[in-house]
Amino acid sequence: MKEQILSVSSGNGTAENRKPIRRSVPVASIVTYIVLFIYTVVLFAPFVIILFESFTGDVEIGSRPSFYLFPHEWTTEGYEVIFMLDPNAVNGVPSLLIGFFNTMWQTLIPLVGGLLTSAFSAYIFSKFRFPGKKVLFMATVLTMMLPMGAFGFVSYLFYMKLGWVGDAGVLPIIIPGLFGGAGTVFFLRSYFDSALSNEVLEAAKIDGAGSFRIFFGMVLPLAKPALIAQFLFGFVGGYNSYSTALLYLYPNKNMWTLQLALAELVSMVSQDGSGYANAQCASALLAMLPLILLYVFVQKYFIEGINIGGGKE
Amino acid sequence: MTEDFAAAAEKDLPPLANAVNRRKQNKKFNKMYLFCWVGASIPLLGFLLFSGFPLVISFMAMFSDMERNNIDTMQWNDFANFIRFGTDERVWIALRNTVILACSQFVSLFIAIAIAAFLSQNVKGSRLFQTLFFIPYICSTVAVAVMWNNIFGIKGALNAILNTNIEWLNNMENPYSLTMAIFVAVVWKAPGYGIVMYCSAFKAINPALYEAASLDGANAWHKFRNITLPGIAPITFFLILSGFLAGLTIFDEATIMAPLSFDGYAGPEDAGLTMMYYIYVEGVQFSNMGYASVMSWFLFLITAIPSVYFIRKRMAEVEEM
Repeated sequence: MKEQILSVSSGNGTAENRKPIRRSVPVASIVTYIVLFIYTVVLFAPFVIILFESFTGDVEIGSRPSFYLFPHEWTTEGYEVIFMLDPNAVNGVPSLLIGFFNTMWQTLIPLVGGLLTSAFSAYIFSKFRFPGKKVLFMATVLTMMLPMGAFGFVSYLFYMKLGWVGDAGVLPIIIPGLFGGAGTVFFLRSYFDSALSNEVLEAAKIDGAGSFRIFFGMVLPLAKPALIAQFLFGFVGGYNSYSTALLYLYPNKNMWTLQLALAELVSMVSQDGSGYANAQCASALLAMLPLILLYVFVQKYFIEGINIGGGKE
Repeated sequence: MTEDFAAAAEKDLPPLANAVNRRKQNKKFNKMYLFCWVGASIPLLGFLLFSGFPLVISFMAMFSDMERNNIDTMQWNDFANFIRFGTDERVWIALRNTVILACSQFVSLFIAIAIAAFLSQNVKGSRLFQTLFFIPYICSTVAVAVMWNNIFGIKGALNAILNTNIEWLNNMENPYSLTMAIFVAVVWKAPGYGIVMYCSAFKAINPALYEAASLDGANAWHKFRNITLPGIAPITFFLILSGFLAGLTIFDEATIMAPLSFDGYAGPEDAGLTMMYYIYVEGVQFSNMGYASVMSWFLFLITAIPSVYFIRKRMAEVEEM
């Protein structure tokens, strides 16, 4: 632990006249803190900028010769535009609120359903032996490797044939997710292989517990860390997803998700791209805030999730 | 490693009962196999239904004309979509922009390695910095694009900081300032994931290796090249490839930062047009899914090249199973 991995200032000198245990060089640590400080500023300055901009009046923004951080006159005009004058409001309910609510259920239903399906499949792949298992698993892993992202928009042809567009446009967002994902299966299977002891499962089996009871009573609770990681990253992905909602939900304002509502609100209020900059900034901040708050409370699980490999597939 | 419950249960039965129940057992086995097959194959079934059918349909659509994207009206069109694809200048513009934006991956990766290296130097509050640096990664692409739109605006913060008066997002003389603005928005968001991964990778490298190298007279660069780099190589490969896949399908940032102008261009000289953006414009806005399918398959083939590496690696893992 004492040894530095990338020693900034220790490139000179030979090792003979050094002791194995060194004190850290002050210059190096000052440089380190300066770099980290600069990176922090670069990352968070945009948030600060749009936070102040969101409290600046539209007239002030329009009339000032160039940008300055602190508004001369603080105003909540931007937030009022979002909540009182929202052109996309349905029955007086602002679209961002509708979007938040829709995002919640449209994300959680396929996410939780899909996790259960994937976990069940992974459990079978991990703890049962049956003919054709290897072929089946290989096929599953192969589908996980295919980069299907390119077909996001042309899948519309298929869902249109099914009639899952227009008022039923929420179905392409919910139903496929319920079948689980190959990536999750792959990740959970290797987790089960290492974290679930066969002896415990066998004991339960001999005690007469059925496969489903073992799954819900033992497998799922034991897989909690892995499931939490998958859940959190799935939730972030669902919360932030935009293009699918744009494709299938656009005609139906009642079903808009938060990101779709945000994008539409911004393009409505800005008209030529410059009007109501305060409302644009306010809506972007409000859209990011719930997830950042969630993250602050459970950040430990995010970092752990990445470290056990649950973040990306 | 894999243990078979059915076999285990069989083992526990007394030999006599085992022999008597053989037929019963066989029946039970078959039921068990069915249970396994159904339970294990649901995700694969989901893929076949919701990705397989769209694949087949879009393949057929490449060769057809349709009315209002209705696949019942498909008609053979003598490769018209392919002929158009070969002569369409916008495809190459979109492809160029997409590749430029996908290359932002290298910048993000470099930032991630550098920041993680700094964080690994007995920094107080290293964990806090990691936590902070991860925040942009979870922010929505749409909100991030709106944010950077504001900063790159003519009266935005960037012009104030640089004391300039440049239209970054709509510059006729230098259209590529728009592409670069999108590039910045992508890079700002991306490194958090890599930082966390590299931090734990650095920690996982055995410190005794550095001790030994120091005793042998290795300097910092030698240690970095011969110990650190091999230690982080697998993660680097993973991040580059998955980043490339994400980069080649960039859509959200482009469509927010370069909304279509009234005459149908994504920013000056289409500087904000990406492949996915063009697919969206053609397929959804102009209801020309046949042509969009050609572009989708083209993009798929490009993204499939790096995926081959993953497939081979994973298949090797499965073989060892």
